[in-house]
Amino acid sequence: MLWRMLRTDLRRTGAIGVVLAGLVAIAALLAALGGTALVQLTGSLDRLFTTARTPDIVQMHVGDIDADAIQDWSAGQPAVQDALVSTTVPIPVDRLVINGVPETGSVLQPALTVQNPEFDHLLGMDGQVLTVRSGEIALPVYYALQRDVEVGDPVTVRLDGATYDFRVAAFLRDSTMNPTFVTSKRLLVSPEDLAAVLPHAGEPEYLVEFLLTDTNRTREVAEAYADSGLPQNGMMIERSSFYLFNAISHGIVIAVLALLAGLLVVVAVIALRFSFLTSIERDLREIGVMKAIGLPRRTIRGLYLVKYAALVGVGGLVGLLASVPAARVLTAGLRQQLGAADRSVLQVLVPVLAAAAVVLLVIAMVALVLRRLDRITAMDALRAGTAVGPGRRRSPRLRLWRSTRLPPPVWLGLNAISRNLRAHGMLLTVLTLCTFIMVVPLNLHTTVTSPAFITYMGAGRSDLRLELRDQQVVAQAPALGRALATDPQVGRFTELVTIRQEVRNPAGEWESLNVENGDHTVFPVSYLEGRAPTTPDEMALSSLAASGLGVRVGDAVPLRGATGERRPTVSGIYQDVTNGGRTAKAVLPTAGEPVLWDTIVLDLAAGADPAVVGRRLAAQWPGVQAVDVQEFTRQSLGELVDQTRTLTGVAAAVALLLAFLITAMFATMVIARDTSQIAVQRALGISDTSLRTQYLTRFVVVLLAGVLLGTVLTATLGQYGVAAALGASLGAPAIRFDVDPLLAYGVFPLALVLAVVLATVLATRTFRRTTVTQLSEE
Amino acid sequence: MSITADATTDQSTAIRARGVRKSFGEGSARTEVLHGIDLAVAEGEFLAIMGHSGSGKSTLLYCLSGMDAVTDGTVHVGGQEITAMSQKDLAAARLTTMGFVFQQVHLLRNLTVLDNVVLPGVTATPRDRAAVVARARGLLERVGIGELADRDITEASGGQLQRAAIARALVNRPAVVFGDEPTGALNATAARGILDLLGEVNAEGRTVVVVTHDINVAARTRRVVVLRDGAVDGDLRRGADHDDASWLATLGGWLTGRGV
Repeated sequence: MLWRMLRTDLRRTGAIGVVLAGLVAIAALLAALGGTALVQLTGSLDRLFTTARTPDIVQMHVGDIDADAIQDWSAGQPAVQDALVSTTVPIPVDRLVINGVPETGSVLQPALTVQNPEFDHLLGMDGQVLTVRSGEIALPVYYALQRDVEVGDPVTVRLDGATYDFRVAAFLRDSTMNPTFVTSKRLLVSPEDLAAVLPHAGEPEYLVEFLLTDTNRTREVAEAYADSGLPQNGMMIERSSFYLFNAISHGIVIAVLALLAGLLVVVAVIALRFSFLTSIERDLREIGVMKAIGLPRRTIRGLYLVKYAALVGVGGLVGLLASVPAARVLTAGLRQQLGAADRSVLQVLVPVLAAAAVVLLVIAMVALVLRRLDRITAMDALRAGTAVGPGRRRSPRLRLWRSTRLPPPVWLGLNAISRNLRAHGMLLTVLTLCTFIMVVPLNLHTTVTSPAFITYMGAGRSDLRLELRDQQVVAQAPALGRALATDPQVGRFTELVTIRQEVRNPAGEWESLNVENGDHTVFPVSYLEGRAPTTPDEMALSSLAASGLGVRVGDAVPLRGATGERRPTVSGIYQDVTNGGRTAKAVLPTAGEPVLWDTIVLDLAAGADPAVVGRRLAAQWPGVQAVDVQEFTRQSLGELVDQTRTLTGVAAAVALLLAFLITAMFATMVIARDTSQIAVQRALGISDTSLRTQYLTRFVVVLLAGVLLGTVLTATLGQYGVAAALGASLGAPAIRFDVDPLLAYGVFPLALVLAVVLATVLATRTFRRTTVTQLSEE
Repeated sequence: MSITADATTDQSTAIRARGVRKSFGEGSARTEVLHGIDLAVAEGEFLAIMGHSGSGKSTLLYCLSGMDAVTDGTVHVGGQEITAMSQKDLAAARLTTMGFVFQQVHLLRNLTVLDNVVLPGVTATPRDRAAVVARARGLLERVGIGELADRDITEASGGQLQRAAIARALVNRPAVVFGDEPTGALNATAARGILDLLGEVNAEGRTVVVVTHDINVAARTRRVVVLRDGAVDGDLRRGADHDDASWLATLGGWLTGRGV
């Protein structure tokens, strides 16, 4: 008998059951996708780093270098397994021509290099160590993914006195410089070609690299090198930073998928609970009979548990199966950029476990709710009207006879909400979550694509930036400044010189720090605390630098450079997601200090086009890289922008589908409960249109309340929780959403309204079947 | 023998049914419940439709009121053919020209007693709300439950709720009032009160058609039509010389003769 009841009940559940299973399917899909992406990301990174033999420490250096001295030093370090000095030849972007178009305007800093035989290999798209012949060049995979360059395309390097032609032979994966926001890029050429280019190019940059026997000793070796007096005119980066840079943008996607899956589990549990409580109300007499004839509670509970477990299990399986093709699409970009992971059982196990976790969690929650059955006595159940179902009826607060303006169907819809707040609370909760799910990724996307995002990159908001990197070009800075002062298309400008300094950390060790010097009040960055430095005795630190050094505004920081030591006071702390997030700003004298690069930041006169002025200045001052700031952030954050765009689309689709399904389910259940009321109204002569308006009013009003609450939740939890969590790992812990009001408050909520309206209209098609003959049966 | 219950002129006809058939089910499971009924109800008539369970009396009532669609035949109410109307026009017709009283009352549970009466009124004439509310209050007073206006329907007895249902049925001043076993769920005292009210409604000139199995209810009417197996089996009118007792006695013998 119980199996017959189960089969009958499952048949009766119909569309509701499909929706419930669908919710679990989506949650399981997202969880499995997140799991797959995580396995793929870590696997790809591990394989890339292993095959490439990524160095544990890279010290950049510009200037004279004694490779033998470095090798001798390394030999004396027991933790150093191998060392190399790699030569790179920076090519000014306007001298690099791809497919006949100069790279002027690019924010990248390309440099030619050759394959390292020992370690730090540049890999081909097949994951193998790449070699090229004379006349061939391998470009970073960035050019294939972001710029549509293809194998066989011509590349020309135009230097003073010589032109070098290459053909793109392959694309490469560089474990140290892959991500788009790492602007330094290595282009692989043959040793013969590099030797030919070297005499005509500017000053080379060297990468002093170390492979260690024990990665736990990285800090020890880095400090030892910093104290050694060996060449170190540049940044030092460790392997963990390379790993993080490669993982960030994909990691954000995984984190958001996990969050979405979690939210959907919550929604699924809420929906299942509501469905279950509605079932109890409908089945009250049957439950009473079962209890009266002595059926154990376990058996009655088991009947419902089996039903819901079946629905949840089917949903979980469907979600898991759907994740297989979906994962291939989601991880396509990741695999292209980082390469495929080695096959492992984890690639199957993790998504299965993730989906299973969703299923088990939901079933566990349902089992908890099923304990309600124990509270129903046989007599309570056999007597009709026991208020166990969702929402107890309250005395009416609203009065139709007092309403002078509202159309009666609208009033009836509002009255229905007021009479059953708890049931509508379920729908409100879900629609609030839908708004949150939809708008947070959108706000994140509009924030990273906003022109103001530059202020999170340690730079002030301006129209154009002129980058002078080559030492010969840096020497032109004073002349360039005089020319800009009289340029009618240029408004205000300031020069910022970045020098390498060392700062002493709380452990007493000296570590490298890039300090940007100049007038920081002209183009200010956004400060978390304090203000810009204005005297040589002051210094502002990036958020990560300050927390790493354990200092706050007002603290003195021991600083040393080529010209001696000083102790500037921290005047302010700002946000910076570039360069690993550890930078500083000061007004130090730069004469005699190792200059890394020079930047002239400028605003243009009204009506001047940054792209046009940039091209003109780059042509007038060879070697100067002119960067349109919006283009700078777009190119630097290209990957992140793509990922947040994808996330916004996925989240919007999920939220709309969720809103539609939940509304359809809720409306179907509510209308089923209201059958007699609907029949009475039809008997009285109230039209189907009027009835539909009642339900539309109910659900759209609940939705609008949900949108309002969801917006508040986005501005609070979303803003400070989600954004700060991402920002802290990137170096901008106080990222503020830059909201596009038209999208966030207009288009997206309107899309939700349409989903809810469509679901309600579909659910109310059953009105025609509701006739007064049903009344006479009751 | 089929009897045509049709002895009125078209001019004074409130309801006219011609060849009304009603079937349920499809194919081999199809069952015809009404077999070509012809019935005319005069304006101001008080008619009872009686018959055994399964005779089709409730089905006929729903077909006459447009709440159920006929399979064949036509029904005119107030000169309009309701069987040819769209759902929208039919709903409007039921709202303005008909009132309905159910056995189970069927007031809307989310509304107060007064709001239940007001609802059809403001739906029909949304611009005239004040007048509707005043009329609704007046009706509740008239049916003897004015003090229950602002109460939840769970706070009233069955008899009081049925009175409210009658008030609801009258709020749009309909020409015809239908009742499906209007006293079926009430005790004797409450039932008498309801029948008195229906009598008053009829005395105002409205046509009242009730379905009942109770001879005491039928005895309050002035005409009784008996259905048997989906066809009219008898049609009896109260004569001018019948007082209440003789009408009851005549009716009783007549019904017994028809096995009702």
